[in-house]
Amino acid sequence: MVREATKLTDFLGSTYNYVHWVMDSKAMATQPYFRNDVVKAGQPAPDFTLEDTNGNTVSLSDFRGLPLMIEFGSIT
Amino acid sequence: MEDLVKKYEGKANFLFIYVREAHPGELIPEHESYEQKVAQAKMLADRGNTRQIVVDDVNGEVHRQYGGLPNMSWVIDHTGRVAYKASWTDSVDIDAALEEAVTLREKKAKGEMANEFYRETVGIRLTRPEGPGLLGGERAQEDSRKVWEARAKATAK
Repeated sequence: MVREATKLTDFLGSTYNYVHWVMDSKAMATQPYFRNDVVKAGQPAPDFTLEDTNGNTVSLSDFRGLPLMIEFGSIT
Repeated sequence: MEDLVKKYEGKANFLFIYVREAHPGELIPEHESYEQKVAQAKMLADRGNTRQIVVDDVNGEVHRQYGGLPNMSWVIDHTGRVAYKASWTDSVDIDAALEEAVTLREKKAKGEMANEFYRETVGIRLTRPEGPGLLGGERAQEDSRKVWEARAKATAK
């Protein structure tokens, strides 16, 4: 598994698996979300295939035909 | 968000992608394996999330492709194109974006005019993440405190 140490979180106790943390407006420039390699509004969304919590395979393309709202999140 | 799921039933779909814990601690830890990640994703359903939940891999491949921030929301239109993206999940904005996406689909289906324009905005959040930090446990709380300390220092410069 990836353990990406970054300057932003070296001082923290948890490892966060992989880290992209916005701490202030200056740090925003270093965030992948704001870089040009992440898709912008108006562009095709990158397809993906993942399993849901019941073990069913789900692809983004399965949802073609209706709008889809995607939330990325965790418990904490 | 559960209100929106009801409001758009039959008109739009909803998907929750479970990614790395934003504020892990001793109670809800970071992921050591995919199996553990799936087990923690299942806890979300127990907490009242009725949406279909898919689980990203431990390295966050899909999450990182979409920018890797902890509470992002995206609206994809009926053709698979990004209609809306935000680095934070705001249900008022998402409602508006879904309304537009539904309208776009209906207009296109009828062959009616639906000219598009591009917009960007910056929103504000009025809450601090101490609440979520508490869920993770003491370690999450301590990390949260350090982050806000560093943030205050950076802002003071």
